[in-house]
Amino acid sequence: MSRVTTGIQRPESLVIEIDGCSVPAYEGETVAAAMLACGTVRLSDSRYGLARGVYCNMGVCFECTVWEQRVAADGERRWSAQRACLLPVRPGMQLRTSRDADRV
Amino acid sequence: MASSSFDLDAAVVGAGPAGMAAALALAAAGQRVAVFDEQPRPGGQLLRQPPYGFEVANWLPGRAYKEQKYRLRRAEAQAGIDWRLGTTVWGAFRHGSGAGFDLHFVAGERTECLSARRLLIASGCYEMPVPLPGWTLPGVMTAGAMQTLLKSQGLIAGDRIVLSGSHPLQLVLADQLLDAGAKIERVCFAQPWQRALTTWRSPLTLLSRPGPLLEVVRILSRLRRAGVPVQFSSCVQRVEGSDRVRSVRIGAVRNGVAVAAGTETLSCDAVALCFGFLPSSELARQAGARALACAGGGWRSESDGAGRTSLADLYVAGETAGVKGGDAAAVEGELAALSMLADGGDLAAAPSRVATLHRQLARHRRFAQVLDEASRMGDGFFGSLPDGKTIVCRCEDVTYGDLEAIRLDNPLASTVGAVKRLSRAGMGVCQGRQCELSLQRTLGRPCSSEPTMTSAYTVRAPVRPVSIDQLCEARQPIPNNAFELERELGALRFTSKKDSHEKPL
Repeated sequence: MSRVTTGIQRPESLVIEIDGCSVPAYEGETVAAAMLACGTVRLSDSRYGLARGVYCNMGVCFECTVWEQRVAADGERRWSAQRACLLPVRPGMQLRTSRDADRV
Repeated sequence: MASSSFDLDAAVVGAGPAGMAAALALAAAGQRVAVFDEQPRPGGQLLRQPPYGFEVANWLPGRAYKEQKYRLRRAEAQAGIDWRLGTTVWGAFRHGSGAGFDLHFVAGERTECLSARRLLIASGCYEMPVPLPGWTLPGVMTAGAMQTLLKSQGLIAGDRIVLSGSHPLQLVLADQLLDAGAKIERVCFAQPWQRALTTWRSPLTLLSRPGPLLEVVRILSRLRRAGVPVQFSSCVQRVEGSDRVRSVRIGAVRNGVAVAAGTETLSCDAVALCFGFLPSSELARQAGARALACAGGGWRSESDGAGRTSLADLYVAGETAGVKGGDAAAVEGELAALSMLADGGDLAAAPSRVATLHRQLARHRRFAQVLDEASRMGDGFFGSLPDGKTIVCRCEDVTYGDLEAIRLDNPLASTVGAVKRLSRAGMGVCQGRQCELSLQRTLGRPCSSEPTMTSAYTVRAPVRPVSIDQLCEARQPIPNNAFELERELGALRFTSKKDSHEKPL
């Protein structure tokens, strides 16, 4: 698992929070790519808790579903299910890989 | 022309080769056109672009990409195209007046709707899921996934990679992986080499498209020089590991069936599978357009050859109408756009242009057929891979053993629809895209030439999961018929309000 560096100029690196851990990432790349680059291949758990990761990388299989903290219109913070393969990294992102907070 | 009560003259779903070619033609004719895609940038899977802010020198070199990249740049520069990127279209419904369509899509936190006088669906395809023991382990992915991680994100998806499949995309991927400095442990082709090569025997096909064959020869010799073993009549039969890929067992394929004897263990951390593609025709089917079974699996939207479907004002182009590759998709996109313009009385396309496009399309079709013959594996092969513990429905963790038990308990449940209801296979968030074909194979194909209650999962809106929050934030009313049955709301697993996990019905 490694990022290609030759011939690719990435923006300034930043840090996002996944399950309470700091993960280095680049703005614009997908959350799936950032997680794979740091060696995390288990992106989500299946209905019965089996390990799952990137499978289709194009938004079809939902196996890379992670939860992003978003502020709703009413100001309430909610965990929103997102496909990591479609979700671009933004500064200050907070994510978790499980719907259940107690696993984190 | 633009005096109608519709928001748009034309809506295009899919910003790949077909959608871009269509949007170019429509915008050039002065149409108000919007293009919808889930990706943040246009290009489709063939030209999955790097993120904004990344600078990539020599992105996707090679002759095969040249014309497609040129079209991409033209489309991005074309004035008058309303790009709706990062949006998810979840339903198309007849507009109130009886003509045109209302297109419902999720943009950010809410679902929105735009009406279009004519709708073109060019939603592409996805890779055929191939259940085998261990295929759900992190590290096992489609070849397309590994390729898009590389060409868009600049990420090599493993330190020791194994490719297994029957489709020539494997060679393109291997070539690109070597370019990036990746270590490939093995490339397995399930078909015998004689079959992979002899399908090129037709001199006409070879003469009309010598490029791809030369490319195959070049990559095979490159792999040989790089010390990457390429095997025919062999495949990954089992992936091993507890929470990620640790190794694979590679074995022989004889008489079109994977045989267990004499398998070899190979240590690796990433596996790409590549056995072919299925049309993504769900949206067109949801809208009500007729679909037909593809020989290799999946459903393609029926088209008159120039993009018209069985429904007025609804058009299809590219892989949605049958998988033929990106070059054919671009031709079909332009043809569909010309049909849309002609049907609206807006422009009579030059007959010579239409004739040229049809000629090109015929050539691409012949080539696609050769490719299909060279790479398609039979149902017997796919049936020989899984065991009882192998997961068939990834979303609901349903195994082949579960299906077997259900069929023993319910001898009359012989149809795809019945087994779905009893097993929950196909009721998860991917909405059956990953298991419908496997269920059909298990229950015995051939089913029927058109999707029915017994041969296919019923396609309903939303064709992609939409959260309750997004529906609540909708600016426009959701059509009454969008959610016909409450139980179909099983697709709405993602309620973000509270962590109330729905119980299986």
